[in-house]
Amino acid sequence: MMFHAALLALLLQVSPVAKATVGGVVLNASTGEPIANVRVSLARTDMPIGPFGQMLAAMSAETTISKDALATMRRQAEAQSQDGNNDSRVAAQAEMFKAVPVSDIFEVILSPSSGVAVVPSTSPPVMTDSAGRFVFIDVVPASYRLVFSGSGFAKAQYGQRSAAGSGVAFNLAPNQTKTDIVMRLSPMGAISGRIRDLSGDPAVGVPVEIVRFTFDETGRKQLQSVARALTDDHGDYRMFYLTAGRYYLTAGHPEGLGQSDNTGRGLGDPLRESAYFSPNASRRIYALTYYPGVLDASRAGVIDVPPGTDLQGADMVVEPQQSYRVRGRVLDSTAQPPQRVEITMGVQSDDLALTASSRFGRSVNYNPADGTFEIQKVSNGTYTISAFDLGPPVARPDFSQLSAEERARYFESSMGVERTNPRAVETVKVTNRDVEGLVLTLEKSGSISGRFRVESANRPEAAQFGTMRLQLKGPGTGGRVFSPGIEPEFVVVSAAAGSFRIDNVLPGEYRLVVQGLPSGFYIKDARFGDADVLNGSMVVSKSDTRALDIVLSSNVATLSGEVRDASGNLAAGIPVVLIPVGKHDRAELFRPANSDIDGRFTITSIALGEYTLTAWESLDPYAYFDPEFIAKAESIAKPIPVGETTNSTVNITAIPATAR
Amino acid sequence: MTHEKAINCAVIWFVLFSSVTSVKLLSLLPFVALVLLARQNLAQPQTSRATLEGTIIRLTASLPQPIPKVRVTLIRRLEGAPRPANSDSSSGLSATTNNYGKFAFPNVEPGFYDVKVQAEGYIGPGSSVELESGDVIKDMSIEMKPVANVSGRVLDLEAQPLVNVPVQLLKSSYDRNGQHSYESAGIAMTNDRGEFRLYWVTPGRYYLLAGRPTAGFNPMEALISASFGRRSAAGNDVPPVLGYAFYPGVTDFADAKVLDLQPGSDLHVDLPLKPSPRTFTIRAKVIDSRTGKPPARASASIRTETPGDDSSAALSSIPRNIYSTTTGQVEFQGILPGNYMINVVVDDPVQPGGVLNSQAIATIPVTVSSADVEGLVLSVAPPLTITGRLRIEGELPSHSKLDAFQVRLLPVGVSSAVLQYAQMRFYTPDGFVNADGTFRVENVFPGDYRVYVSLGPARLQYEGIFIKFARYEATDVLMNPMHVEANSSGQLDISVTAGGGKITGTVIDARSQAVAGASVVLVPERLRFRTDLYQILTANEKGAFSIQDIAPGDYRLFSWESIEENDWFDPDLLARSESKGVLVHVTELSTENTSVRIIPAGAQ
Repeated sequence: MMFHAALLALLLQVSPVAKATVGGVVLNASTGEPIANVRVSLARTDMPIGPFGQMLAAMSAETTISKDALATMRRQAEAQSQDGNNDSRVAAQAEMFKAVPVSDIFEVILSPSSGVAVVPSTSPPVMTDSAGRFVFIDVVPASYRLVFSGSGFAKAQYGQRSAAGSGVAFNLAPNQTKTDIVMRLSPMGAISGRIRDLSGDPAVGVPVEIVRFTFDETGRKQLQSVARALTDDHGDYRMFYLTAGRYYLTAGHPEGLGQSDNTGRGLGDPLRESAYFSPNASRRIYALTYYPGVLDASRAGVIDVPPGTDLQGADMVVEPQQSYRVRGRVLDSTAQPPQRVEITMGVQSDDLALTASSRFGRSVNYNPADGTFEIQKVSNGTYTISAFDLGPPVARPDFSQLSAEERARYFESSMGVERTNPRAVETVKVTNRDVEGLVLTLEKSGSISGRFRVESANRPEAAQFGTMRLQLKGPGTGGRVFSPGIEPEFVVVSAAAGSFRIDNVLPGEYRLVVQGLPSGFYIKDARFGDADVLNGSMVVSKSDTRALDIVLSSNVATLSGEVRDASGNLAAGIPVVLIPVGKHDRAELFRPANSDIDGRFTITSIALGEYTLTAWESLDPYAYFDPEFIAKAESIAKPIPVGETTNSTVNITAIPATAR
Repeated sequence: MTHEKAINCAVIWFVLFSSVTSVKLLSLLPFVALVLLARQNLAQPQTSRATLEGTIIRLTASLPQPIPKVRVTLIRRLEGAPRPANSDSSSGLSATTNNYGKFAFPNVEPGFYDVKVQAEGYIGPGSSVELESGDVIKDMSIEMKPVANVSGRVLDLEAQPLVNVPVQLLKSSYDRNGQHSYESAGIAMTNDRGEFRLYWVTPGRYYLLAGRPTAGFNPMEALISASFGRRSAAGNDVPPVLGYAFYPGVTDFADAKVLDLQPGSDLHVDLPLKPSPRTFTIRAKVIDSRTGKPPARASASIRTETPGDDSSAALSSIPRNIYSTTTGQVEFQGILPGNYMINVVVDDPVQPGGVLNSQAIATIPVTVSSADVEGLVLSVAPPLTITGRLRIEGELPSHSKLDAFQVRLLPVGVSSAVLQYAQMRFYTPDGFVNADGTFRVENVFPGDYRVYVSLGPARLQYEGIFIKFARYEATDVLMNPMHVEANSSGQLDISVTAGGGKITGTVIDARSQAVAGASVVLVPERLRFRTDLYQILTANEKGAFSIQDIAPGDYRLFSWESIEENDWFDPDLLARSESKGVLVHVTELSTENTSVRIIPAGAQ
């Protein structure tokens, strides 16, 4: 039998594979009319492109890489490695591109929700005809996604249930003909309006933004920018190509931004590259205002953009942003002011891009005589302020006299110094007044050692420890600490023994986040000394010698079942999620899955306990972390116990999109 | 009567005189104050402060109008210091004009000030003023002109809107080496209706460009612009636009029409554009001139000569052709019709220490019109080492020993982008002079150069020392560019001398009154390409200037009231201003004295 299968595989390789056919029709979701000239891409989900694919998947970006761009990247990587560059990373990069079968690829489609898919050169994209029909013939049997892109319509994948959701992959068998696909595309909308200042004049060059709230994989709420524009000399803005949905509209500069330089054109302005701003205009900084004209985000009104609607007259009045100053002292561990210190301040925000970019361009006055510092032009907001002892001045070598290798070594060693120098990190909240008397005490960071213990017969393979990520998230609303070398780093000391070390840990309160857990395992317990840091925060004291013990268990359960829509039909692409009862802050216990093309779903690696199982017709990625969603889900569904190594089967009806 | 009082009296006289001739004007202005323009130097102690008041007026062809809400900033200038190019207005005193366009600084420390003006929808160079102790100036009048706006739509040939197309105004400009280019005055993207709006543009002459005239199809660029485009289109796909068009709808820059944007104008322009124009392929063969064979390793890049390829310039230079070692063949696809420069670089194996040595390059112009370009030969040549001797004529200042000199060759006659490329990759060829006057300049690639001599490595301009003659292969390379070919073998002979001439003088206005703080530009009368002979300085608060170290020869001295930096290299501007400059003949160690009349901003 084994022999026959191998023979069959061999035969399939030499003789033409029995090809499949896939096709269907594309309709306007609002009118039901067919849409012509929609670009339809058939993308394989199972085509191996090596480490390059893994790198792309980790990028979590939304883009399409053409064959030409791939070829260019490969050529450049090759050219670099041939330049006699001995850097191992360059060689690795060249190897990575070498493994990409460029000639078999038409394009690579990347999306955060459904990862990497490859459009093979054997079945390039097609356009729909005047009846909205499309068909791919001679398709190699494999697993595919269908991606639709039509002018004036939101880009969508087959089976996609929400704007940011993922589509459904399906298998095409040899000789299979599947031409019954019906894809409904939602026409895009636009929103426009006029922004005025308090005197009724047009507010010129004001950033206007459409945003929505999303959640990340650790359950943290984030502000996501959907579209941006700058007002013109009439105060007018227009944002277009909006996917139908519910959004928030803001005008003005985000807190913590914009005050940092005179022109407003420096770093930190997310609009500086993509929108026109007259060189003869001076940037005025306005407070971030939410539609219909409130400063308080919690009172912001939702703007519902129906499919294909041009919403006009979304006008607002903006007021100048007030600024304050932050003053304090920096002291080293002997209570003396350090001679050379770098002080940076970054905004803590729900908006990741904002957090990352705001570190730059803020000037800090520091007086080494008494350790006092002052930061001016700070707007309301919550900030992370960090001080870093630069140590005695080090003469910079003459780079022109150094080889590339020596230069790299120099930078690496100076970064090493940066990591180990004493530092301080504090959270500062600015609310309508100056902040005085802040004290930053520099302390050397320490290391925390720890070990993974496995409490079951199965053990993860040694290599799997390397793919795990342990993070200590800092305090504050966003909890992001963006300063060089400050984010504590996780180092695997011995994969075989499961031991690790976290460097650069400053005394303080943290939240332990574990990502990349090997499939089939869950975290049963995590203790820092005696403290339960799985269900509570992790408080690190000065020269803390306690060990971090993390217990993994493979005693997990699997749950599978079928999802039906409200009318009782098996439904594809439906998000299903297990919500841990009473443990809503344990992000890793939430277990999501999507129903496949046949309406079936399987949830694996479930830690034992009580869960609420729900399915929703439309749900954005990670939106199940939303407390409102959880409350709703728990009010509708009954908790189910998931017992040790039980493989249960349950059937569930998806809650219609309108029920939210 | 002191000099200053004479000026003050003359001002009173002028004001009274002009009040008779232009009654209409004065009836509209706060003319009572005008009469008080003369300084009221009241008998107050030296420490007392000054007062400055005035009006900001809209400059129009018809009636002058006051401008409210103008931010007026006083920035103190140190005596003799040039006007700061990018003065930080936050460091000065500031005031805002009221509804009658009036501003007031009641308590100013005496000094020489630049007056900077900022208003929404207006521009103006501002002014400068000297305030002495106790001065009360009540009627300073500063003009501003309204800016211009250009809006419109970019449409395909079926009049359908084209989305996310960059639209920009291009302005002719010169760099400090006199190299000409077109600079962008800001880029707007079209929206879903194909609309764009470029507001508050400085009035002037511009070309309007929609789309990007990139050097053919660059997949990396497409990837980047697609992700940028997506950002302004709420994450959804925008059909790519590969074509471009200059106003009034042409792709050949030679056919493009200038938009002369007048102050206060509001222009609407619809630009038709072919979104997917026909493209062509360039096939070429790389030959190493040393061996007559294709080199083992080569990379080639292409750059468009069409203006407007600003931010993507670096991307377009990414070598992206496939080079075949056996055939030497390179290929550029997706090329739109136009003029291009191809750069070929041959990298020899890396020398110990990681330095890329003895490369060979070629820079070849290509024109693509309506067919593929086949059979182009890109002959690369290695760089030469040019040897020579530097001699000193006469006495030099004591610190200027021969071995303190450096000889530098600056590439000319190629597009500035190629120049940038060359500088980025190889730096400007230069070499130090030995104590016996001999020197070697290494890494000189075939091409045209201008010879510079500097004292010490940092300065491009020499101080007090100028080249008396420079000869290479029997050519006078002071009067002509220095032409280096692959097989050139000549010596570069340079003779330097000290003892340049000097010009002193005063900048005056139409009424022969001294003008404080004006720019003075010394332009060589015949050797206009010798950008090293140009000198630019600012007159002091008394209008006086002094130019040193002028190589003997004929010069023309200009003072423009308003001029963009380096625009004095613009032959058209020079031709228009020629008769308004003063011709000065400078001989060794001579001192000429002359006054130069300022050319009003409106008369350029």
